[in-house]
Amino acid sequence: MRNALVVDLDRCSGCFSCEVACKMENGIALGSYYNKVLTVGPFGEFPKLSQYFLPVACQQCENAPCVHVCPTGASYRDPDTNVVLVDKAKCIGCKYCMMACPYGVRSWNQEEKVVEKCTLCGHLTSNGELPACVHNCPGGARFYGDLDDPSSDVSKALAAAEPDAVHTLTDVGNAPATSYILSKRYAEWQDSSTLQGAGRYLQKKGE
Amino acid sequence: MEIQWSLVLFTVLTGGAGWALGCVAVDEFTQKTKNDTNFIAAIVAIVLAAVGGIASVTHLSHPENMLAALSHPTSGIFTEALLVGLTAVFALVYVILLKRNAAASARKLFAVLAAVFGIVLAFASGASYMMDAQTAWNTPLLPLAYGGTTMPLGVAVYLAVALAKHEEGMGQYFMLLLVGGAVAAITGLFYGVATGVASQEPLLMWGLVVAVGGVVPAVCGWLGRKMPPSALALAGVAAGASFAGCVALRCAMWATSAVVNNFFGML
Amino acid sequence: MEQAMMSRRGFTKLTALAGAGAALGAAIGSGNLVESAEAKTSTQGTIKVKTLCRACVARCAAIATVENGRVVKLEGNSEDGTTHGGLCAKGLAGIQALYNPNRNKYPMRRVGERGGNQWERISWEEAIDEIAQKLWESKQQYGPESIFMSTGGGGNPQFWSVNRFAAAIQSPNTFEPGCAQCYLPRMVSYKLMYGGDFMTGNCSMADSNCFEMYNPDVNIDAVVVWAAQPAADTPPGGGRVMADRRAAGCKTVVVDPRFTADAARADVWLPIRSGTDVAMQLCWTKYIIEKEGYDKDFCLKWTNLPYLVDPDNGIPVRAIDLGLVSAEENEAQIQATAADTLTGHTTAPNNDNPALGYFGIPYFVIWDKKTNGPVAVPYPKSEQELNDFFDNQVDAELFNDAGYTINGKGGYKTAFQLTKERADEWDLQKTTDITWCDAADIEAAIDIYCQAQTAGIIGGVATDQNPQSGQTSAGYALLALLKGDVEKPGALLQRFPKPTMADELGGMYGLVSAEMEAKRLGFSEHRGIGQWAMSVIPYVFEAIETGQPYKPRIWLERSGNKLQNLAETERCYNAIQELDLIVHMYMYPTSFTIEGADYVLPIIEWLESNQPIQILNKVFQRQEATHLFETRNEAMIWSDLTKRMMELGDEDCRRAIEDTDGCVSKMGGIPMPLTDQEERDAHVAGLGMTWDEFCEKAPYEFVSWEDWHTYYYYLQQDPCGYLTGFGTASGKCEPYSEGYITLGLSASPWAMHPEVFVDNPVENPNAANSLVKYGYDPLPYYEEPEESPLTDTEYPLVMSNGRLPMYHHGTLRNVPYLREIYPVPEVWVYPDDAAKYGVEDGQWAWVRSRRGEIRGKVRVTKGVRPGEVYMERFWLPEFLDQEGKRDQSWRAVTVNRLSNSHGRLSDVNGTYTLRSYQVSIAPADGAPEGIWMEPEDFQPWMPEYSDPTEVIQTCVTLS
Repeated sequence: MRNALVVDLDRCSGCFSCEVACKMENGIALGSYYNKVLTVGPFGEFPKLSQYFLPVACQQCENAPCVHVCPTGASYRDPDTNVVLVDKAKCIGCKYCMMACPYGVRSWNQEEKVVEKCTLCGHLTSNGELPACVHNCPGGARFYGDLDDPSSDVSKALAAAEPDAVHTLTDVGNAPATSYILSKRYAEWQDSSTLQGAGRYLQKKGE
Repeated sequence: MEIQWSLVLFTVLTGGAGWALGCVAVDEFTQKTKNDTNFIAAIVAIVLAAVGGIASVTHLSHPENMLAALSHPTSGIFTEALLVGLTAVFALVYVILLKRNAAASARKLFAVLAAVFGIVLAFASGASYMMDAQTAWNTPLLPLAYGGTTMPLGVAVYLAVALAKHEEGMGQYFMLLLVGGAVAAITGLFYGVATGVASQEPLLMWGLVVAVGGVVPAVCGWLGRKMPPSALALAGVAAGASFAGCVALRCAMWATSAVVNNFFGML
Repeated sequence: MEQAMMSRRGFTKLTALAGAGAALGAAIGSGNLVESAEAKTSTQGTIKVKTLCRACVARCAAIATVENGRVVKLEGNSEDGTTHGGLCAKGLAGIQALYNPNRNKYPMRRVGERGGNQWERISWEEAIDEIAQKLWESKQQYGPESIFMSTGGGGNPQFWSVNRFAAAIQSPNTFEPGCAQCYLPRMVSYKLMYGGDFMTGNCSMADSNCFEMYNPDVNIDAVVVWAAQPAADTPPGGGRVMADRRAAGCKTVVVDPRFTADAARADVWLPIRSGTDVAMQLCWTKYIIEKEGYDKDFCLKWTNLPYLVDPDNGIPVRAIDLGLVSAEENEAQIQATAADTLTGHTTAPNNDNPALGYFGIPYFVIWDKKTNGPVAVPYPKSEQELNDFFDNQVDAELFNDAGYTINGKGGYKTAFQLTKERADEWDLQKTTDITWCDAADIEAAIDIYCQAQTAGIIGGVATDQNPQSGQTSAGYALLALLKGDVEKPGALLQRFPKPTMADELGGMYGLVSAEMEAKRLGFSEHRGIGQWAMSVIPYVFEAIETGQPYKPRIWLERSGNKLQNLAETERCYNAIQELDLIVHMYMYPTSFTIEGADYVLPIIEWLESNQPIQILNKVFQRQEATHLFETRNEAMIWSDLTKRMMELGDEDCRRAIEDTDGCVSKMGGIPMPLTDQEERDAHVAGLGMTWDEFCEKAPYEFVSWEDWHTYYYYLQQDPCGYLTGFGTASGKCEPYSEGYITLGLSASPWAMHPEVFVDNPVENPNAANSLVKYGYDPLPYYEEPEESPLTDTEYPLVMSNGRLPMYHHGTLRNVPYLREIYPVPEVWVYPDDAAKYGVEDGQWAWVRSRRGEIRGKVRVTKGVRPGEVYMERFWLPEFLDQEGKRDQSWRAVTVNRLSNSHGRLSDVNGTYTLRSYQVSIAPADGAPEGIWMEPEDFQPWMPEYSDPTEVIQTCVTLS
């Protein structure tokens, strides 16, 4: 079982709903995130420009470095759902996992002084509901389910996509399970490690 | 990334302790010291390691959960905890054996054990930072520099203890200090140039790591090889300079961290 | 996992406030809090409340989870066939708006100087009584024109209530920052040119129209998104459906100076220079005609394009005037069609003075190539008759370069010919020069439109925001009608059935007197604004400033921040100083409250509100998930004021309350409700239910999906014996808009008393290039913006604005989860321009116009076209209670300090210049001091739970 998200960037309009849905659902502090929406571009030669939005959260790596480096097992893989989670009760706050995450998508909870991150809304999915970001996505651009189940929403979304339109963030051996769909006719996917810029606006290298 | 001072102190002090224990082990074989030097030096090493260990705990927000830290052997922290623990234990046993005038072979065994584990720790504490996510840290040259820069520190500490105890004939250790300074400079240089850190932080790398942390101890080593009256002062200067160089290397590492993506801006 | 982390905080007990002022504002002051009032019964447990969002003007279905009386979660409701369960960031953050610590909780009266931000709490009875007294006194001393009202589109679900109150007290003036600057222009043009439904028959997707987009059973080949951003204005509705359409193979063209989310997915993006849209539309018109990309059959049979136009006045000529039909036949057709019940072909009581409007459909005239002469065109009784006439009997000429001579008078041309001539100069070269778009791209876009079988135009608000509003809105309708995108499957213009309920209670227009209309400021000059019975804003300010023709003295304002949304902000600020009384009704304090209000009246947030809404073929309920403090539905505030004034002796108000002469009900209006419950019931009385019954039943289908899609409404045969057609003078669609002419002649069809205006027709400002000397030009014409980059050396860059997906107009700047995403206004600058003017990405810059200067944070991007900069409106709530800096809330970064309310206005609508004016940029030393920029800064605004309270039914019980 591999529970993960698929995000269809052909449809994503960068509206920030998933970011806010997540914050409302999980009571996340100001300045902290489980899911953040970034803009890539526009790049290209005016007026033939390209742009896509990039919502990022924990990528549910199959080879999760955060689990590997955690000294106490607070960062662990749930034996039933196979989802990478944080057991806050065990976290000693060494932040090793934050350094080990290739995408910097783990957050520090100032109040509880532990690391936290996207839980794929386990409290909702265990009730048969969808994660908040998936349910509320205005663009119908987010899918959740078991990649190993061909009838799941994620499997169907991937099957419907052109093979050269399916991407992941840069894999440095961590094997991110989250896929992004971006068709060539809309924009050329940028290897995430090459993206320039801080904050919400990222840019293609060399622009 | 912000400089994590408690981790800087941890790796510098434990590294220095490791190399000091190395000198103790060497001396068990070369028998250059006549007074209590090895005893004091071993205790100083234990204290340094302990202070370093406490420093690392201040980095944690929930140290009360720390006992679980030994539950996850894949973690670099597990390795470090193990090495610090074992080094301290072996050094303590050695000290006890010394006090009880135990057989030389026993003392040598534990001195060597403490030294080996301590010196491995000096390098291993840098190896924890080698992660695929950290593109600037993910090179063996980093732990090499971690271990290399602490060599002159450990030797200088040993020399300072020895000279405070009025030992004579410590010339070989001054030569060891010279070698240590060279090793510090070279390992620091390899890391700095290969990763580009040297051009991003020239003052820290060229100034403090190479010059102050490497060349100065090396020069002190050369000047002290014939045991001049200033020998103790030379050891002191070398220790201080090496400490500065060790800290500088680690600061440079933190300042130039580069993740594959820092999407939330938290690193 | 823990739910939303809204910590309970105890409330500070209310200290004695008499004499002591308490501050409203950003920080939590002790006087701002109220003890939790008595809770409603039975608030234990968890319930899910089905409701509709109203964070913007859309109405996405949402479900509120209420736990022990507190709203703890919001999520989209998948029963909504437009959103499929999606909900945007604005809606999701509704809990933070609802429980914002700075909510206005109870009525307040100003203490000390205006602008001093010192207030004391009063009761509702006191508030209503004091305000009513002042209104009645002013009305007696200075006349009802001394009082004016305003509202806003910032999520206001009781939009027309200001008009109701105006009608009740006989005040001639209401306005809102939108209206002539938002949506009215397109409602005017489509109503006059297409003649469909008043509310739904236009191109605005943001106002929940263009339903066919949401029909998966039809194919739409192409969609042109012009000056609109479906992905930003309604992410779950329009945004999603655009993605669906693109995925289904629909081609899209986006016309926008910015590379919006929809532009980034379009087949062609035309990065147009703001303010030049009419040039582009005329270019499209030219080539659509040349390439024969228009729907020939529709244009021939169902538009007035083949009709001959009288060269003397530019009005399509009547057959009776050329002796081509007998008086009996003509009169019979007129009388019969005037009785049409399905569409309505009457705007005047008779045809004695055509300038006053039309009564029934006369015979018009085409030129028949078979007989080489003019022929009278009967209005069809059946499709067969229509087809027979145009396919067999005559061969109607569409274009004639040389005018025909009839009865000795030359120069008769078809409307189509006049349209062609108007567009003729706009070839690709000229259009490229003016619009700054690439010729090949323009042609590619036109080809997409021409080659599509079914193509729709989605026209947005940006083009309503400059003085060409009357022309651009007509341009959208022209393009849509040429393409025949009318009432066929897949067409965006439809007349599907509507449920027999009132989502809004309407304007009580039966009470509007001739004197009111005569005194309505700016109406006679800009008659399109009559469609909303509103006034032209700069005329109101002029009257305040000069006292001419009379001086307005009392301002009752029900919206957010007029010091952000009106053009030339300083003008509003200065006007405030002149007024005797200002009442502000809103959910939380804004710059306007602090700078101007004498009374503050708290109104409900959308999560406290109730309204029935149609979504496709269903009706939904927006029902309150809670009710807090002493907030009220504004409709009841207006009602209570009316009742109190009636008690004080105002007979106009008596007439409104009691409908003594039946004027209200005669016009299908709904009288003033006396209680809150009555108000709710009035909305659904037409469904035969009470409000509570409706909430139990909804959402439900008021008609089946199949039956709702009643295509070709115009082909229905009315009991009067004729095809119902369209609500225009000819009964057909009018790309050549006679309605624009008539509007200019007499303010018909929207003046209640057109006789007031008919003797004072407007002169067509484009008369030199048109047959029409009096009346508004029936065709679009291009005018270079008053401030133009082609000539302006001092202010070289064009300014435009545009929606952001996390904000709605001036609202939501105090919602923490939204504000932290986009905490300060950005100025988007093209890289070459940034280098030229020395501004850098991430640094602050001065943006200056002839009116003022403000600051913004620079974003260097190719996402705004070269030569143009983008900045959205913004105000800063954090300054409201910063001592000595209160005015920074609106002075520091509000782009409307730069826009223009003087100078040129739209001929048709009175629109001033909110966009498409000239600015300069220069580096600034830094951000305005004290501005909140970091996420943690917004912590004081995190929500504070409050228990539900009883709704106040009324505070004026009539004896």
